[in-house]
Amino acid sequence: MDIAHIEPFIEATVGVFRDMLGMESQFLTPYLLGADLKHEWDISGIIGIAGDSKGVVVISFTAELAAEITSVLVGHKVASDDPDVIDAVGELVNIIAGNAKKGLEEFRLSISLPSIIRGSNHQISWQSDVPIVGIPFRTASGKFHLSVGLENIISS
Amino acid sequence: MQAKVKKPAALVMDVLTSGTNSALEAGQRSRVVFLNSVTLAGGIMIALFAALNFSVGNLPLAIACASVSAIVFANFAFIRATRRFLAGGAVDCIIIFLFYLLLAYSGGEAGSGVLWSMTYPLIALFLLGPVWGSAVALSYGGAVAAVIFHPLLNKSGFPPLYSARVVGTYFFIWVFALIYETVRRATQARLLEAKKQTDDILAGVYDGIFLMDRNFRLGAVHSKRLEELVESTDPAGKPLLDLLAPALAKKDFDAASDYLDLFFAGTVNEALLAEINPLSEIGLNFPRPDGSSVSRRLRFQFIRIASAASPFPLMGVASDVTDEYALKRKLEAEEKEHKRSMESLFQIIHVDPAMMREFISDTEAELETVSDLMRSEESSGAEVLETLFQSAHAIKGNAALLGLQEFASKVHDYEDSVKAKIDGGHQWRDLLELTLALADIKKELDSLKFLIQKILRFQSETKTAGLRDGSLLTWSIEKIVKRESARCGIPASVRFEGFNRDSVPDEYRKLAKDVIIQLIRNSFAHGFEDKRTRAERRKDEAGLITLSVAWDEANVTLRYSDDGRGLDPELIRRKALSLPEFSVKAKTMSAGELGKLIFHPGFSTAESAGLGAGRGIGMSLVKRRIGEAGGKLAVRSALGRYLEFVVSLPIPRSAEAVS
Amino acid sequence: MNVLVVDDSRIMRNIVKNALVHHPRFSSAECFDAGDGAEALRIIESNKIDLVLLDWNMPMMNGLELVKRLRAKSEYAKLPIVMITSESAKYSVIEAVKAGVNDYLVKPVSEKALVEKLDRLGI
Repeated sequence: MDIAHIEPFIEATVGVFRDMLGMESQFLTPYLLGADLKHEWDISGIIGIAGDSKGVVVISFTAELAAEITSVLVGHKVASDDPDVIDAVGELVNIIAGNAKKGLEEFRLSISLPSIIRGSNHQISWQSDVPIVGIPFRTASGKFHLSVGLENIISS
Repeated sequence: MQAKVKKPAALVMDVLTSGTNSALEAGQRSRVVFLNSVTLAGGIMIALFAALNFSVGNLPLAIACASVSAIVFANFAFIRATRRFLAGGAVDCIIIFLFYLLLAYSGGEAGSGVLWSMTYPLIALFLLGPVWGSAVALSYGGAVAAVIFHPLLNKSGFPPLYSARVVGTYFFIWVFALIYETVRRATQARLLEAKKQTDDILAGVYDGIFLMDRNFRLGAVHSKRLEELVESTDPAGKPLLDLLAPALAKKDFDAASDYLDLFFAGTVNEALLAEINPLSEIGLNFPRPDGSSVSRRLRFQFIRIASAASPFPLMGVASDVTDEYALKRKLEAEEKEHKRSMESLFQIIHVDPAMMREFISDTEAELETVSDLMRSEESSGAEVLETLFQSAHAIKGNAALLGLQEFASKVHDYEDSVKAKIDGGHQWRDLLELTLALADIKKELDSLKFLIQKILRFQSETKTAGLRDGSLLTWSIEKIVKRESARCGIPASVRFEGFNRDSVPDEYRKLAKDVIIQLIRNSFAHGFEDKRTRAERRKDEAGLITLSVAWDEANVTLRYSDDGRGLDPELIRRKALSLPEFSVKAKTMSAGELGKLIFHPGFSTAESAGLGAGRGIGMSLVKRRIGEAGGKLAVRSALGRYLEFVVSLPIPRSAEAVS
Repeated sequence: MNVLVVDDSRIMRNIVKNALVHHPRFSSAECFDAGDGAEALRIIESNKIDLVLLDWNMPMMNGLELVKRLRAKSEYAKLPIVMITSESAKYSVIEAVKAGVNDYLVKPVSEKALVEKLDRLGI
C-alpha cells in the first residue's frame, strides 16, 4: 500500500465534508485493523479500486451522523431510518470518490461506482492477505471512519 | 431516380456508377462506368441523328433513330434502378447490334455508315466479357459481312475487295480487343487476389501494423488489431499521439512527443534513437466510454521503410506486451520473495521450534499493544511513536537473537524511521506512513509464521530436534544462565556480541559450550557479589555476563566476561599457601602468576565444594582442552570490577572458506 | 585530442577522466576540468575542445542550460557532447537529445560503456 494512493481519499473526504456539508473534519491517529472485523458503524460506502493497485476503500458512518449528513443535504431534519439516508450517503461517497479520482490519475488507478451497505454490524469482505489501515475522523456532529485495504501490485 | 444535391464531379460519378459510387470493386466499377457512358453517349448520339434526319426530311430514319434513342434512355433508367448491369449491357449490345447494322446497310455519306461497326467489338467485349462478347461480336461481324457483300444488301456499292478489307479490319479489331480485355481481366484478377491476401494478412496479424507520414499521421490502411490495441474504431488518418494521448500520463506523453520530434530531425544517431525510445515499452491506460478503463503495455517499433520522397516513409508496429511485462515483474517479485523466504527458512530451520513459537507470540503481543494504543482515542501522536519505537526495538532484539537477520533488519529500519520522527517532530502524515510500514512488518511476520508452521510439521514428522548451530548455542547459554541464576538466587543476564550462525566454527561448538558453561558456573559461584555489595559498588542489581566472538586472519577469539568481583590475588595467594606445592612459591608470586593458578587442578577458592563450581577440576580441564585444540586461554581481571577470559582458537581449515 | 569533463564533483571528474585515458586509444587525450557550466563555457571558448563529457545536475548553470547555449552558437553546433547522468529515466535523456546532446551515459561510468558510445559517435 502506498501512502500516495491513500492521500487523495483523505483530501477528498475533508474537502467534500467542508465544501458540501460545511463540516470541518479532523483525522485522528491511524491504526491497523485487527483480524476481527467487528465494528460499530451502521452504514458504509464501498469504493472499489483497480489498476496498478487493487482493493477497497470504505467510508463508514454511524446512523446518527448519516442522518445528520442527509439533513444537511436535503435541507430538513430526517430520521436515521429515512430512505433518503442511503441515497445521501451514496451521493456523498460518490462525490468523494470522484474527487479522489483526480489525485489518482497519475497512478493508473480506476475507481468503481460506490455501493452502500447498511445495517449495524454489516460485514465488509476484505481480502484476507491485505493489511487494512483505519483512519478515524471526528466532526462536530460525530465520528466517521475511512478504511483502506490496497494490495501492492506491480508498481511501475 | 432521385435528384441528389452534390458537387458536379460527385454528381457525374453518381450518374456514371448508377448511384453505387464506390460500393463496387474497382474492376466491376469501371465496367459499370463504361456501360453507363456508352448508354448515355449512345442515346444522345442517336437522338442527334434523329434530329439530323428530321431536319433533312428523312422521316423513316428519323423516327427509327428517335425510337432507338428512347429505348436506350429507358435502358439507362433500367440499369440505374435495378443495377442489373449484365442485363443492361446485353440490351445495349443488342440495340447497338441492330443499329450499327442499319447504319452499315443504309450506307450514309460515301458508305461511312459501316465505319461505326468497327467500335462494336470493343463495346461487346467490355460489356459482356471475353466469351459472350466475342460470340456477339463475331455474329455481328458475320451480319455486317453479309450486308456489305451481298449484292442485294450492299447499298453502298462496295467492291468485294473493299468489303473484304472492311471485314478483315473488323476481325483484327476484335482480336486486339479480345487480347486487351483478356489481359486486363487477368491483371485485375491478380490485383484483386493480391489485395485479398493483403487484407487477410492485415485482418489476421496479431500486431498493430500501420504506416505514418512525416507528421506521424496514420495512413489509410492498417491491421485490424491496431484498432483493438489503441481502442479506436477508426484510427486511419489520425496522428499517433492523438490516439495515445488519453491513455498516457502527462510525462509519458511529453517524452513521446519530444521523441517523435527527434525522429525526422536527422541529427540523431539511429542507435541512440532506438535506445531512448520511450514508446519501446510503455504503459497505457485507455479510458472506456462506460467509465471503466483498460490497461495494457504496448511496444511500439518505428521502422523507416521507403525513400524520403514517399508520403508514408514510416511503418509502425505495435505489440501487446502486457502479459510479458506482467510475467516478468511477477517472476522478479517471486524470485525476490523466494530468495527472502529461503533466507528466512534457513535462518529459522536452525532454531528450536519452541523458541520460534515464543518469538512469534511475543512479537504479536507487542504489535497488539501498539495497535490497541493507536486505536484508542486518548493516545497522542507522541505516545504512539514512543510505543512503536519500543516495540520495534524489542521485536528487533528478539529477531536478531534468533538469527532472523532479514526480519530484524527490516524492523531495525522501521525503528530508525520512528526514531527520526520522534526526534525531528512528526506530522499526521508520518503516522500514516508508519502505520503502513507496520502493516508491512505484520505481513512479514505472518509469512514467518507460515514458514514456521511448515517447519514444525516437517520437524514433527522427522523428529529432528535442534540442529548444531550458533543460535542453539546462545539459547542454551541463556537457559543455563537463567537456571544458575535461579538456583543461586542471584539475578543475572547474558549479553551476546557478534554471535550468529557462523560465528563459532562447527569444530569448536562443543568445546565453546563446555568452556562457557564452566565459566558461567564460576561467575555465579565466585563472581557475582550479593545485592548489597553490588549496590555499594554502584553496579546493576543483576550481574552481567558478556560473551563476544570475533574473527581475525588467524584466530577465532571468544571473550567471556562477568561484572562480578574479579580475581582477588590475595585470596588466591592464601589458598595457594595452603596447598603443599605452592606453599613456598606462593609467597612471592605476582598478581599475574597468581591469576594463572586458578587453572591449576585442585585449585578452587570456594568455601565448600558444592554441586556447583566448587570442584576445581573444571578450570584446569578447560585450559587443557583449549590447549589440545591448539588454542590459548588468557585471563584478565580488575578486583571488584570484572573478570574476563579470552579464548583464542586457530581458524580451522574448513571454516576459512566461510570467513 | 582535447576533452572537457564537466561535473561539480571532483571525484566524479576523476572517475570519468580515468575511464577515458585508461583506454589505449584515448590515453593521450588532454583533459580539461570544469566544475560548473560557466567555467565550462569559458574553457570551451578559449580552447579547441573536441569532446565534452557533461554531468547533468550542476549548480548555477546545469547541463541542459549549457548545451542550449553551446548549440546556439554556430561554431559549437557540431561539438560532440555526451551527457553523463545518474538518472536512467528516459525523460531527461530525450529532453537532452532534443537540446542537442549527441549521446548519453549512465553513472557509474565504465571505460567500456564510454568507449562504446564514442565509437558510435565516430570519435
